[in-house]
Amino acid sequence: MLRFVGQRLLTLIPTLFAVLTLAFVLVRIVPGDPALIILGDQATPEAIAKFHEQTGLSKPIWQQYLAFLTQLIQGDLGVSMISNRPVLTSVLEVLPYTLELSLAGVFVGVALGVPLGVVAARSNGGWVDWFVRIFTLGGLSFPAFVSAVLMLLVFSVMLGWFPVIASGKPITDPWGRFMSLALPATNLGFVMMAYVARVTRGGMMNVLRSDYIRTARAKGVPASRIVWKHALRNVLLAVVTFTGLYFSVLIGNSVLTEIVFNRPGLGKLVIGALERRDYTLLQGLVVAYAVLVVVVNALTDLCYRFVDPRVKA
Amino acid sequence: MSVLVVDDLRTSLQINGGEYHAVREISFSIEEGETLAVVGESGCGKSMLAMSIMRLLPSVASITAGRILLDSLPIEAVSETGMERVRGAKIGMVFQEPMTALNPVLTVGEQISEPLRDHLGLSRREARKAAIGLMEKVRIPSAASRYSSYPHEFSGGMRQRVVIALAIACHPRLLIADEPTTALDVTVQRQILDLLDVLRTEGKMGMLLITHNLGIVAGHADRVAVMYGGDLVESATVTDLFRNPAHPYSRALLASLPRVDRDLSELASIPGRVPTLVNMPDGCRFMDRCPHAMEKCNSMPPPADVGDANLHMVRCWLYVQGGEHAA
Amino acid sequence: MSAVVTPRHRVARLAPGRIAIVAGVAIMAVVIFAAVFAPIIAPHDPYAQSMLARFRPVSAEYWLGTDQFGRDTFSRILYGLQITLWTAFASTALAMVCGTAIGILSGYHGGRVDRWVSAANDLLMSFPQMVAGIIIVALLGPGITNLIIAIAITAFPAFYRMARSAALALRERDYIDACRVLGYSDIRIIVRHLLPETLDDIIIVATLWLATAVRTESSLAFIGLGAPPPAATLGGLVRDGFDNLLDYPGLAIWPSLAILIVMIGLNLVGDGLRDANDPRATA
Repeated sequence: MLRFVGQRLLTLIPTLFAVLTLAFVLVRIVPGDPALIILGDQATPEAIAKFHEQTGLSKPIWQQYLAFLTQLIQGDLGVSMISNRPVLTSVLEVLPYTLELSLAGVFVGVALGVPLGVVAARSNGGWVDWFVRIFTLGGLSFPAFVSAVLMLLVFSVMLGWFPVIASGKPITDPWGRFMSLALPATNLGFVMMAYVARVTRGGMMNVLRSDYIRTARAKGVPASRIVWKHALRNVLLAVVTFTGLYFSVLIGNSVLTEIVFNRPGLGKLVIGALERRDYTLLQGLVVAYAVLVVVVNALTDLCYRFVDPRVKA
Repeated sequence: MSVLVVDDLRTSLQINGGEYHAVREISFSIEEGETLAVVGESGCGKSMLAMSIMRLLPSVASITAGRILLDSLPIEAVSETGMERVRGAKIGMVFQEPMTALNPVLTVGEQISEPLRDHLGLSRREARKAAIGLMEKVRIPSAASRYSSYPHEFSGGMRQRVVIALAIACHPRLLIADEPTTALDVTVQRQILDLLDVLRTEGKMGMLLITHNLGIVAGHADRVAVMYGGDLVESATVTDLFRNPAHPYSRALLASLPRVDRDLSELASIPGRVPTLVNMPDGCRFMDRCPHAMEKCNSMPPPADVGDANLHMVRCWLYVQGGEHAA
Repeated sequence: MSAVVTPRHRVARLAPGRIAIVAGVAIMAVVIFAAVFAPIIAPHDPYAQSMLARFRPVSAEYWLGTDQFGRDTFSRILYGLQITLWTAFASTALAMVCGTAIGILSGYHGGRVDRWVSAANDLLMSFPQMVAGIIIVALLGPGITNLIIAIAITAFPAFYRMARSAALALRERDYIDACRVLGYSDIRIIVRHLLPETLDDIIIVATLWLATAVRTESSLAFIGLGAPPPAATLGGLVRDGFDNLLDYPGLAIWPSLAILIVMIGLNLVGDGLRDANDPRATA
């Protein structure tokens, strides 16, 4: 297993490398001199030169790139142009909140979407199937910020079940932390649920037609166990694959969710970096997102090996 | 006592408002320890017959008339949940495609243990022990260590042995084998059929062997039922049928078989093809391909009860009212 | 008794897809009508501020009330629809044309070019789409054209993949070989044979992506990266309403509903088209 993880990580290196290069280029094709943005239009030529010297912008581009990579390998994402704080510190500070939100969102999405898809497949054309179909169509139609605003309005403002300002609580207050997570996670999960339900329904319809389900029926396995054990185990393969692919959408939705619920996280940091034109922080965040996506893809593969015995390490 | 009695069974398909007979007025019985082979071309209703007995018909199909008695239990009247206690317990079934017949994400042992726990009420540990015993019985080498293997780690022949193990797990009275060796290599075919013979004799099971291979019939069956277009056209003991085929279709079928004592040039194929369900003739279904077709064949199906059902039965107008017997 | 099977049942099989398409097209017809004729329908000037008419409730004069500057919410929603629909259609069209063209060329050409373009595309696809959109808009600067480009870039991979795989599959067909033997130019083979064959699939992807484009546009506007003020955008309206959520929740609810109606309309059409084209879908 360990060897597999190692191999998987090795194959990720080219992808990662490409994304890092992209992050580097992206920040440097921005129109305008960052020195002018940061120091203001009235900055003296000396001040600008000094800024370029300090940030390494006076060096040739390939030297900057090399420096960027060397720093990265040492685990250094550079320093914020604005606050002079190490970028890595800022990222690591909020990363747990984003991870916690994403994982809880995936959990809610799968925990609700899979049963919904299964009952739809069992009903197959019946009214339950139609209900799920219309319900999921509604789910697919909610942009994450719309559902977030409406949820906040209904459950926090009108019903008062959850705190309105649900910013991250410290880990020492587990109940507060849970309450501040519940609504944002439900929001992420609600949108994901619709997709998961559809993937599950489609997979279930295919699996229920297969030969091994006929074998299970022929040996007298009760209908409910055929669906929930024999068929569902196979459908979960598709769900795992889907979840891996969906993760990048989920991360995007988490940005909006963080804004609406005023939670700390990578998304809020990105918006802040853009507003302040903090390009080194932005560069670091792009790297962080890329690493996150790559790690999740690797985890999906691992998960796949866990559910599908045919894939061997 | 008969293990299985099928009496005047009719199974129909409802498609777009039309009703089509996939199995028409079939009667036969299987005794304890006996193998009845059902032969016929693909699409003749063999599998539909097996699925009727299992009550595992697709949603468009249903049993519309007749009786199926399994150890005197009328199967056609049992509720759907009641059938869950019959399948796997009193009837075992072996399928054609061993490569896809086992669930890829469950261990082989788990799949064999499941009916043992369901029907015999064994505990997890007892079921495990019994399952390993069954795996040994179907001659899977180093059974104990392969209990936790997954189907993809088995070859086709080994997988078919697993399917057989779970079919016979609860000592069923009847074993239905639907083309059990068609998908396997010739050498493996022989082993699997021999294994089925041994298990049938040991367990005093009746066996319904569905095949289109007359060689298998000759070597492994006691009696044969020939099906054509949903009709059972002839049934007899194996020796009787091979020596004295009566129905024109049976005769044509046997004539298409190469034999050591005959010249290969005499090998005949049957002209035409099996009519599809939607344009099945009203009368005898073999009429269009039959060299002896008469006026009567077109208007009415031949009666189903010609001859002694247990000895040599043939369903053809040629044998009604002293029609000539052209052997 | 041997009934003849008429092909009529095939039509019946499409029924659920058809209902969805009809419902979706009806919704979109109303929405597009409202957007196109916004200047005629709108009871008020969407930009006219009135300090005397701030935060008015729903009334005969202000159908959906007014915002913190006394602007009519209903009129602003109609104008917001214009921007949302225009951005969505333009960006999807742009992505469709570029993605399909490059996808077909890449798949048809094959070889090293195809490998590199595909690798770049995979890279684009793996990066969180919303984050990419945010960064691209922020870097390009505000403006509807930049918004369209940014959304088109995030939509590009779907069309590219679709067109490329279709071209790859078709390339191996005998009749395409026959065309080559006849000496037809590549352009002619692509335009006359490959393109028509892939068109159905491309249109389905386009309908589904229209919904995604609406989602991306309104999300960016909500973040503050949409069409610059004073233009009214649906996402921007939700944002404004969100700032006054505790006191005037209607300001966030109405534009949210407008977005939902557009999304449901587009999803119904896309869903229905996909269903009607799926040979495995049975009712």
